[in-house]
Amino acid sequence: MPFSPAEIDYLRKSLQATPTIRPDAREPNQFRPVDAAQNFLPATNGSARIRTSDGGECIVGVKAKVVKNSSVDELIAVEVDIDDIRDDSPLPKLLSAVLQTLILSSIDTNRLRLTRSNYAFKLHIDALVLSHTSFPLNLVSLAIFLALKCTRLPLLVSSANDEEHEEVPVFSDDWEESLALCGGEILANNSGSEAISWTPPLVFSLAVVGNNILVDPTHEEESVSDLGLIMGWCNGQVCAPLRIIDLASAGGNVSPEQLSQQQSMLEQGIDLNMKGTSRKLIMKAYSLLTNTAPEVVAALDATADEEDGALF
Amino acid sequence: MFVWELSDTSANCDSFWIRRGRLGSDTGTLDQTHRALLPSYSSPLTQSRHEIYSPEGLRTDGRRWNEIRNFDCKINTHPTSADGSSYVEWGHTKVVCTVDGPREPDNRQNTTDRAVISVNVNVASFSTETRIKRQRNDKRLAEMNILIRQLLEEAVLTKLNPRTQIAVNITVIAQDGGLLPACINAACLAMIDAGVPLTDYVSACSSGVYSNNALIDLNTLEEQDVPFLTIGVIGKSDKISMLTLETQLPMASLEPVLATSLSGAHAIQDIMDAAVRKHGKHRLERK
Amino acid sequence: MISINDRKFLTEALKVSKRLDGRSMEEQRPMEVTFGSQFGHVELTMGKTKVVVRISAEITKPNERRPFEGIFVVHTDIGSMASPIFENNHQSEQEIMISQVVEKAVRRSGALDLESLCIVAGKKCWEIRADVHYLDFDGGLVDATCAAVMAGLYHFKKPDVDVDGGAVTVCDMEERHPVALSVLHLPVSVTYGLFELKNDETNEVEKVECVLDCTAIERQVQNAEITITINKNRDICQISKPSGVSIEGYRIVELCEKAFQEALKVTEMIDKALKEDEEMRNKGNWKALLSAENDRYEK
Repeated sequence: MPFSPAEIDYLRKSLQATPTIRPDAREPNQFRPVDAAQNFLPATNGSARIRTSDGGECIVGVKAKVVKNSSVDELIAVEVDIDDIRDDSPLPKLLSAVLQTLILSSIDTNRLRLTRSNYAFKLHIDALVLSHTSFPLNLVSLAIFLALKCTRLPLLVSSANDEEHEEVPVFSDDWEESLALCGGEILANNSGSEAISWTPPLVFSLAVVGNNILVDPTHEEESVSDLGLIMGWCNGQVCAPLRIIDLASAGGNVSPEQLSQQQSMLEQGIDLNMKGTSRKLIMKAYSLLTNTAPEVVAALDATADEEDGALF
Repeated sequence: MFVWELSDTSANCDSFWIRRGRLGSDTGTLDQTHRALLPSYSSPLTQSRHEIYSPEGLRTDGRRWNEIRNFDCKINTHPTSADGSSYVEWGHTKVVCTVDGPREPDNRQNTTDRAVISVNVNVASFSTETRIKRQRNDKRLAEMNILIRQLLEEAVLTKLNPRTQIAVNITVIAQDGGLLPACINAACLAMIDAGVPLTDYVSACSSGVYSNNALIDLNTLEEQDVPFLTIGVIGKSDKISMLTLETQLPMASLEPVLATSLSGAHAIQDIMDAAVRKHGKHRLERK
Repeated sequence: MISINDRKFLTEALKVSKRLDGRSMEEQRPMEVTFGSQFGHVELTMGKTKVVVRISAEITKPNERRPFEGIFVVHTDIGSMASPIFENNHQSEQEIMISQVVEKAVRRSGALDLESLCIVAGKKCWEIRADVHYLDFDGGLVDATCAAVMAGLYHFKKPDVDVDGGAVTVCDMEERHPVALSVLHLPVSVTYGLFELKNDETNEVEKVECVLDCTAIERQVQNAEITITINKNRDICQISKPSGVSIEGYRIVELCEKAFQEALKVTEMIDKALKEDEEMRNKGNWKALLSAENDRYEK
């Protein structure tokens, strides 16, 4: 939705002020309330749904497939499907790539191992974005976090030691005996190390307007931002990926005509609205996230511990 | 309960999916009394051969021939992101539907004297037991879009909103048989929520036949083994508006199967009506 | 495109059970089948509708999920040669529906026995491909396609193969007689157009008329369509009734019964054409001469 020059000016001036004035009177490090539900799809190993107050909705389903180690490269595959947008356009590809590298680098693959040399679980994480108004990265990341938290994998009853002769894995018939992916038991069972639990990683998109960093930006804030920062959060600290993106157009706020216009401008070497940023601002974003992200994780953990089941 | 099944029958099992067996049954009788969940349901593959219709008259999930699965529906589930929305849970099939419109049409060519309805069905990769990545040019989905759209065009008073478009988006998050009927029922409810003028409720139901016994509302296991058809009706008439049959059915069984699915569709309309009235009451009382 | 005058004329005629080409409401246009010199080449005309089918066979790897079955694909591509309402290379809705109905009628009904196409399980199988070309469109595309593809499948003969361990040798058509396909049954499609006949003054619907085999002009006036595919064993292979006017269940059952009668006629027609073609190829009775069968055995 295009904005009038007056609106753009008003938004920029208020967001650039010190202290920053956001249209919904939030603090720069304040997230909007979300509605979460989890574990409502019995056909999946884990499922979650996040609904934001601006109408964004994302449903994630995690399915585990038993694979032979030799035939696959990576044990995690993330696919983001955004309604109305083709699968091979840049936005879904960006989201899938960012989330896949993030999760792959933070998980200990021993959690997915079944037998010592041959078999393992491959997790297919499919995110379906039903509607979105702003850049959907936050939305999808929160949903994947919750889905992974409630993912359970079946318990192996056949032998885990198959170095001598190969044996097809057999699992327990009782779902009560399944193990949580994020729990400690599964790691202890598979690799004999300590029973440490795992918190899935998160990735945030932050809007930079002037000297101010804003967390969980809305559609309006994104369109007047100088640029956006993608920052990962894993194991209690900021982690890769760390990227700079053009939030104003990446969120899909731009019509196809404007997008092709931007493409041609780029080819001609004309700069877009996106401005560069300084090291100071990146450090500011870093410290903002370090202070805020633990609370987000704690809130999500609290949701995850509640009773689950129904979608509405 | 847990079983695993090979995703392909190749000799070297490189990869396979695990399926969680279903706990309990999910039935609803035609007179709307819901049966209690059966606690001791053993998944089909642990029995030597599952019986579509046992001699005692019980199906794989414990229903009788004339019992539909639990049909649970809610409307106005997405008040902020869509004009009209609904959520249907029919047995284990779960479908979310949103309706946007009447609104500015995407192209003005064919909308001069009436509203144009566009339907888009999105099936999630994790909706089935085995994960199936959706093909982009899936003709079956295209055909489903066309069938749903034509059925809705029959019921919607399109002439009241010329030069507009009504966009229906259906997302399937879990499938367990009866996909087309569930989508149609969800679309009808979402249309009602959006305030689009309809002549009457639109409902659909599937039914099949197994060794001379008509079976209403089939789940996935039954759909794979048994010939079945899906009908769509508008209002509680005996006239059938949409009919699709894709498997071989002996002609002698056609009449009982049609009759069974008709009564199923009528029963669904009662359930949908109750949900709509409940929501209406809730909105009136909220003030 | 049809003018209001034409539309009115057609509906008024239907009210007194008359059609533009003089047929009765239940009369299908006669189908004529001619076979080409190559096996699997069929030309079918039904009134002005002309359809050409070519069946071809190729050896390929079977589907991973079904290693014991061959592959059968039907390719229908309706271009603007048939009629200006179709576009080349563009899947309009009508094309999608037609190709889906044809696929259900011919492929999903199991007319062709796929297991007989397997050569080496999991490794090699026959892929039978039916390419349908539409030369002229005057309604009844599904009916014509179905009959033509089935006639082609019965007519087609694939080369004989020798299997030796894992190696497969395809024998030349001249050296060894080609082998016919294993066709299990003959599904015949019958399409009825449904017309809502309204009283002019009150604009109320008087009755809904079911008309068999509509031409292109009748198709533009019709309110709905129902395609029934049935074989001579009284098995309904598929029914497709996309929405439009609604009709009662008992009428659909009646239509199936009538469709069954039509199916018998079409089956007979195809059988007759196949026999005639067989006789023509067998001129001089060379098959009996070349046969190694002993006269001792009575046929």
